[in-house]
Amino acid sequence: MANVLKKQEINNFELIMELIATDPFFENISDIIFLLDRHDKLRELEDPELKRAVFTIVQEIIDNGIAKPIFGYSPTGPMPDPIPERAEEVLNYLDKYWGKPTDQHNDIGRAYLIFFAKKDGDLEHNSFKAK
Amino acid sequence: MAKNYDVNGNLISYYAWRNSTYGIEFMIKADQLNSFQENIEYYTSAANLIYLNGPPSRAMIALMNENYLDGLLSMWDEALRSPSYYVYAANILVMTSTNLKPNNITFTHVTKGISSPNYLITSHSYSQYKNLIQQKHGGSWQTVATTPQGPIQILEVGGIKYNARPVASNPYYKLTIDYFRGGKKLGEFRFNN
Repeated sequence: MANVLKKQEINNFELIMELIATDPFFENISDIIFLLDRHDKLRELEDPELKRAVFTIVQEIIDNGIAKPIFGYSPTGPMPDPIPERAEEVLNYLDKYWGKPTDQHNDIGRAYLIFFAKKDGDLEHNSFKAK
Repeated sequence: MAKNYDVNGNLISYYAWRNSTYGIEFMIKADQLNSFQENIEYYTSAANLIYLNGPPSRAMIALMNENYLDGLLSMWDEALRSPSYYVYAANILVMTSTNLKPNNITFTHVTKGISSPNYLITSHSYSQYKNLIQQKHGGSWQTVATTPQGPIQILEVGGIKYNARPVASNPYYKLTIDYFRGGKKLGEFRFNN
């Protein structure tokens, strides 16, 4: 199981989850990082604690059915086969392709590793492979 | 401080500045002068952060005062609580507005401080705005992934990245250009066409 922070270790955890659930423009990993920067604390992009905090949020999103993960939009993360569905599987995928600072476009690749669909009509689900 | 009137002679806003080095530093809606005075420390902090990269251009001041005032004012409450948010918003706008006539870009601010700033660009199409960014910064759009809807492309300038993608979670705004700085997203431009 990927390494996550405890919910209690994230400032304003409930607020962050509420914003994710209600913001119609919440889309992907970069939005989670934005919310953590603003409402938890500002961290360097490569801070291992940021990765763990993101994983905690992703786990909460999936475990509570707030949104379903969409894959295939990241230049650094390939389309998984089979498609991860449980939180543990999704976090393992994230952990594998989170990337190194030296990877070209690692920041964008990481940001787009998962998109989230909250309702029918939000993105076509896992319908293609990234280049 | 100086007053700013519209074409009909109505007082619409104030300009404020601390010294002659920076020129105009603050725009205050006419009916929000008291709020500005009560929260001057937040605005001062925000201005100081903005000026780390030099004073805003004349185009930025015009941008904030003309078609864009309504959009920026929708962030006013947020700016009072979070100067950094104001910096984000101003920075995103100025990055594509500098050196352009202010009336050349119009937008609707489609989020109100819940997450990163979203601007629905109403004066330019997705393709036109990509060209505009390229004209401003030089360089070229690099395709980093392909989708059935079209390519995901990046234009990188220093520590800034524009990421153009024809896909988005929100079904109403598929066409999006993300604005990243230092590896983190600061906001998005959305397009209807």
